[in-house]
Amino acid sequence: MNVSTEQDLKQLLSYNDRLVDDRFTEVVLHRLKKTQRMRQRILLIGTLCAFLMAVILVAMSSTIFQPVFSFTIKSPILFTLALIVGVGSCAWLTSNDI
Amino acid sequence: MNDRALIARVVVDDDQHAFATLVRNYQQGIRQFLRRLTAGDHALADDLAQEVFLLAYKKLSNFRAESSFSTWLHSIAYRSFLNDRRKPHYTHEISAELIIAEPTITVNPEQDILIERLMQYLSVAERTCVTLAYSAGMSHQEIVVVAGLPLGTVKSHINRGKQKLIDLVQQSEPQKRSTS
Repeated sequence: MNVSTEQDLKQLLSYNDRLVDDRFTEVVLHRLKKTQRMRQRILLIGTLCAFLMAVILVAMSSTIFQPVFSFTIKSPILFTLALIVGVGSCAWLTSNDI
Repeated sequence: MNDRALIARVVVDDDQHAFATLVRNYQQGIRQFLRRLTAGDHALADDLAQEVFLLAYKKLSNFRAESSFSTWLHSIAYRSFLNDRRKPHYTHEISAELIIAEPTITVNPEQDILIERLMQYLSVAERTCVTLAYSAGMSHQEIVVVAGLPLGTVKSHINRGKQKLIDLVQQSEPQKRSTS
């Protein structure tokens, strides 16, 4: 193999294999769908948990905001942590980077 | 349908058929580029190529068309390769002087395999710049965008890498003759 000119080098380094197969595309799409499914599941579980919590809190109190107030008074740190977790989860789930 | 229209459909409508078309159109270039960067580790190159397309899907809304879509994908591929290289399993480049003593390096009839194997004797920057310039046919400015290196550095990597490859091919010629 004689590599004396720029053209020879281009010839030598050119891509010869043809790497276009549908299997590769299918694998990429499959992995993409898997990630999206996982994301949807997490979102669904989070929504259900939040809904359940809301129902329990409302059912246990005479006024709608009473549970929040009492929770804040009884345990302000836990309440803050719950807020951080809630807001963080929302930000993470909507970021599209999972 | 051109790339812009396909990208718009992916970003706006989350159209996976449009994304599949983009994958089909660009997998050749990206997979070949990664095969050269990984010096012929086809399994790793294909894994990385899949990651590149998944990452591209996530970041597609950030694509500003300041460079071509191919250049943008190649820069993702290059960064993915560098990230993977930081992992402990990666083997380092071999010094070019070792080629004569290395028994596994013989000229393979498959030209792509030969080049992929020779790439391990080049530094990562050299193999990136040489591959982008001679195999992907990119301009020096495009290579600057992909590799994030100054223009002068890109040019010197190309020249050094090119010279190393020429030397390596010429060194492997006598080996080929002596083995045949």
